[in-house]
Amino acid sequence: MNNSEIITITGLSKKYRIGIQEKHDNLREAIASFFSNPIKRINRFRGASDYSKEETIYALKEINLTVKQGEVLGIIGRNGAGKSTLLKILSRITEPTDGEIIIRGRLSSLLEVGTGFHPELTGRENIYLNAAILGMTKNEINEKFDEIVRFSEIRKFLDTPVKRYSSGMYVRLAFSVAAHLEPEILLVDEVLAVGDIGFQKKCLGKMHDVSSGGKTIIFVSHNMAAIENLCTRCIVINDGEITFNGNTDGAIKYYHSQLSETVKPTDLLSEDISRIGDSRIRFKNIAMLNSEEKTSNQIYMGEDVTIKIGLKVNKGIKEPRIAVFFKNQLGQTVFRTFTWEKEKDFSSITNDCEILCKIPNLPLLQGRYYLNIWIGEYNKPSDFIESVLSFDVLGKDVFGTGRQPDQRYGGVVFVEHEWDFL
Amino acid sequence: MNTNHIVIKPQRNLFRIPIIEIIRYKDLLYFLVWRDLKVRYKQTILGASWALFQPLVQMVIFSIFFGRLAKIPSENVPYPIFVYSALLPWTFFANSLNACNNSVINNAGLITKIYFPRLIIPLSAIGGGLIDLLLSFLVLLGIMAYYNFSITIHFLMIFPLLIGTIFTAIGIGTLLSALSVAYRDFRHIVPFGIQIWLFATPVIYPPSIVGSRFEFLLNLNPMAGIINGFRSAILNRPFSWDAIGISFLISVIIFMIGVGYFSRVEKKFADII
Repeated sequence: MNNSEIITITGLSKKYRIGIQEKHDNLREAIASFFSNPIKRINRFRGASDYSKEETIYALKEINLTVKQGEVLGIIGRNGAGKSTLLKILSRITEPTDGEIIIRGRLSSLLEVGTGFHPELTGRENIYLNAAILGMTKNEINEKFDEIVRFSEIRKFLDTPVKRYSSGMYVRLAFSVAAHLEPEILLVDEVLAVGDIGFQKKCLGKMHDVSSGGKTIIFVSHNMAAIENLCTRCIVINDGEITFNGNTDGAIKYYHSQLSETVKPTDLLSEDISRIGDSRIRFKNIAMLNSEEKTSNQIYMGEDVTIKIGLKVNKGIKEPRIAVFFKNQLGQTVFRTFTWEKEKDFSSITNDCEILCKIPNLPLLQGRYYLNIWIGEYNKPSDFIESVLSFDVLGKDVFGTGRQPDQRYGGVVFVEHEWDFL
Repeated sequence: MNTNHIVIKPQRNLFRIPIIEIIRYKDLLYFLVWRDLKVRYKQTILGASWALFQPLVQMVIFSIFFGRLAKIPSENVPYPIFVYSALLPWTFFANSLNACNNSVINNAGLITKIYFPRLIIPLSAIGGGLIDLLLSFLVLLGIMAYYNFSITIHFLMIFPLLIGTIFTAIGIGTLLSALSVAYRDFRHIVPFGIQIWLFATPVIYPPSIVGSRFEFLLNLNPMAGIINGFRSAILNRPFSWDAIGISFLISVIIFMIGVGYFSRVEKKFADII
């Protein structure tokens, strides 16, 4: 075996059970099901081996990967592709269903900053607690305590309960503890996406030091700039499989090309969809097109997008009005487009057809958004479907300054603007 | 480098107690106990003295209702010290079960984000109670002085008996904490289960009250022999070795079942919590 291989993953799979089966939230159901199907019951905790294929999904499928000592490996992929599952298995939080991993070194994982922070405890107390949770011994913490405090720049508030900290201070403290871990292998999941820019740079710098010291880092992020800066190699995970393994530039290109791949249009006429309205006209399908006119649910900030809506006309209505509502994850409508306000007359709709709504320069910040669609006569709905489509807005340097506008500093949209002296 | 060699694959062995892992993470155990104690008494005026009140208040109530009014025999010992000597280990035991029961769920944030031997969590829940128990012993010394009891050689038996209590608490506690993850029913069952258990244990009454025919049955409850052993140790009375022996045997069995079950299912916690 090659000695410089610090992690060897062979045939790694992770199955999850999904849907309605075998999820007992109370004992009565569990007992009832025990008597109706004892073998299934006994195996409940032991794995999903007795479930048929329809009931399980593979979060990871037959992953093979080796990581060499000193490498900084980036992992990219869409939400739900299996990146986090891989990190969770590597950090022994969850167990694989199949396969084997050999790790030859002390491994620390940072899936979150400030794991185990207790709001009632002071900064000083939380440093000890958090460091112990991350695997440091008491002696190690004592040795590094001063350095951690210096790095965090919050000495003044050391004896204040962290519940009175601002979120920025909280993150600084948490990251400072994490940055002083000395593992041979470090797993990092998206945690750099916190804190102010100056501090982020400091953390990236610290991580860079770590890697040039011969340490191995595995880094999951949506922040392509950070990936590009840090990683020596990169893999792309798609639907639980590694679909690209090679240099970082190639991986990022591959990932972007993948994002604009066709997304299957959902059939909105299906019975399963809950809707309100008299059904004289119904929505047949909906898709979001990116600036290249390809169906995509991954849109960049400031991209020109088009909503394509298919209509099924059962019985015509007078002056149909159509609206599309853009909602954020809190369910707030960020903005909407409405035919009536734009004086668009669609009264010619008498047969099934497709209509378009073009939105140039989408002003949304990063995050996941949902669409509600409404069609009706005056204010009487013919068809109204909530959360009919979801899409992610990905960060982009829209101002060309190298700095992405960020939701964490407040707001839901970005607008073009200028600063100057009077 | 092979010293840190870790192999991750699906666990197939049925029974495994990660003792070496727990020793490696002993500082985490210490800090979790320390966190629970700190948090429990933060922003309280009386602080840690709250730990003393529970058995003291129970002693007063039991002395009035069971000692005075119901006139439960206390084997020629003043009822308050008779009941307090049993309430000490019992309170520790009952609080341990309560704390363990919710411990894994309450630490879901840790379990889904970081690896450490999961047994540390119920162990830390019990550890906090142990500190409270130590404080209550100070009160015991005061009560003993008041009733003119002195510390004898019998008092040494407290240590093995305490270990028996801890074994039982770990056994039941780990079992409950693991079951609560999958079945939240246990959050509701445990509080009154503990109350029933109190009456099935010779805390407020002497074991002799049960009658010799059922004494064997009583001793199947591991806490029966142990609690009565505590009383003998504190009040300088003869030990009933049979009862203590049976209790220890059963507490070891319970320990194996609880820890065994916990270790088997702990890998799934992050997926189902």
